[in-house]
Amino acid sequence: VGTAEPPEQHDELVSRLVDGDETAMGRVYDLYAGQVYALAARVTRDAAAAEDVTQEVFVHLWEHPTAFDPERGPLRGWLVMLAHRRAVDCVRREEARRRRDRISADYALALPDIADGAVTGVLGERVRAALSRLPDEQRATILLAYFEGMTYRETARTLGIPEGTAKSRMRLGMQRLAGLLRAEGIRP
Amino acid sequence: MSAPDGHDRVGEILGAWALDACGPEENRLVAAHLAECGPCADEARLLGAAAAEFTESTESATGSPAQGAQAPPVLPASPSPAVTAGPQPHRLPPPRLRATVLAAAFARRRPDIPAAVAPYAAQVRALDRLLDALPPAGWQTRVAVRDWSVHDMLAHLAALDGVLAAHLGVAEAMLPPSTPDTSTLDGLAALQQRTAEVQAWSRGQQPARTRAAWRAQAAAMVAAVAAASADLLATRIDYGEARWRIDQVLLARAFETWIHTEDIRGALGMPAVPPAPEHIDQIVDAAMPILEGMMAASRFSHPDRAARIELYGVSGGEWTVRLGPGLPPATPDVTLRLDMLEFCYLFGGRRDPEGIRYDVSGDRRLAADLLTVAAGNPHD
Repeated sequence: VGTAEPPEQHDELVSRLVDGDETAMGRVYDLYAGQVYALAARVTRDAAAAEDVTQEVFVHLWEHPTAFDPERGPLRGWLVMLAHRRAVDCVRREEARRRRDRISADYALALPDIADGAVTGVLGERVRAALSRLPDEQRATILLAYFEGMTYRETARTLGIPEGTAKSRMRLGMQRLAGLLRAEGIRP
Repeated sequence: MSAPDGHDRVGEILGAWALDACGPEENRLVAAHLAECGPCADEARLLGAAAAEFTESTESATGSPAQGAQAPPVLPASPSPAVTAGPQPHRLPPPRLRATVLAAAFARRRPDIPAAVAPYAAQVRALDRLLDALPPAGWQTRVAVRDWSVHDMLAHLAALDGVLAAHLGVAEAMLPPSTPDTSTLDGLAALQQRTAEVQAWSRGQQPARTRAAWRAQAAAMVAAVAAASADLLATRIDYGEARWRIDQVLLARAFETWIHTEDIRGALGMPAVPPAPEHIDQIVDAAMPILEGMMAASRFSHPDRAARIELYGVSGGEWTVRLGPGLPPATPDVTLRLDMLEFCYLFGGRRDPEGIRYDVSGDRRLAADLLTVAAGNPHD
């Protein structure tokens, strides 16, 4: 799998992290904390939770730098994936779930959209362009799952569609998206 | 392990999985299936990478609100009205978060690497850094060992590390499996065959892949030693011509990694960088019993004789080495004084016994024989 971005400098940063180099850690924070935090803030809708997620992600990297495998993609993607997983965990905790129930009615009416300022602040320009080319129903399932941290079951319930339909829309949409990104010369 | 329909079930939920939209049970199902199904693993990687693209991939988002389209949001900093349907918390991390996060990380500094494996880990890092700086063409640079390239050299290191890794319970899936009959060969031939096998594989790979395999295996070995009991480290294993304790073999791996890193530096016209003095001490401590074994097995064996080796320089010490079977004398028959690094290079096969400078008192013939055998250490 070729990557557009030369991985060497990140490999070196990671080697220095394995070595316990604190300067390298600061550099990695400066490069990626913005994206990690923004995503966590979008998914959790909670500044304090976003800070916790950011801290967990970078402490994890510091403690387990060899868990990152450069063969499988860039460091940025790995950190973002960790951030998303933790943000989603946070959203799904009982307390947060109750809080969100109060606002779910709003979402049923106003689904997140790529024109939505809240989403556009996080979405990359080219990904936004690719997403806009997906059928509406595929895009809606993807945005609800990724940015609201919903499971596909919750997504199905929110949209009033069968679970199987939600699953297949997510898969088709993600396949299509991956193809569009690849066609534009973006990773993967 | 998966049910016959596991493949289809997992395929259905791969999109949701890539979006972190599955439940814990399904996540386990997917993880188990991906480990054994190449096509699903490929798709999972593809979809996961696409999901990772959702966030802005600019590289200077932190603390640079001047980033055009990404205007800072207007919400007040107070986290109390945390949940509101429309507006968002700040999208930029508060500047104070940097110090908080870094302090939390540094406070949880990783546990120190155990002494048994520290020299090896340090040499792996040193070589890894050297490879970082290597331009793509540099991988084909010839080193002064056989007619190997830098790439071949790394494959050789990965191959022999792998022999030890197997005893540590580390299965390195990135390297090709060893042929089953390797174990029937005598020690050195088995190591050579394994080297040839991994080199043949590596020549069909990008150097980055060989490097990743070597590094992943090394990292797993270090982790395995960190978790290992003292009993395991004292276990004797077949390695080369004899049986050695695992902790001795770890130091032999540190030594070989060091010497080959110097080979690569030399080929690139770079100066030598010796290991930390305390690591050299450990390596020499492990080398002396090996040297005794080599003397006993060689035609230069001198029963009932012993030599004292005094090393000085980066570090130093004195070692008494038996020159053959039998009872060593109360006082050594000969004493050699030489530079510790020179001794290491000699023992690594990187110095000529005739050309090395040393002081000797006592039986000069014994000293010459000892150095001849030391230089014959069958390192590549």
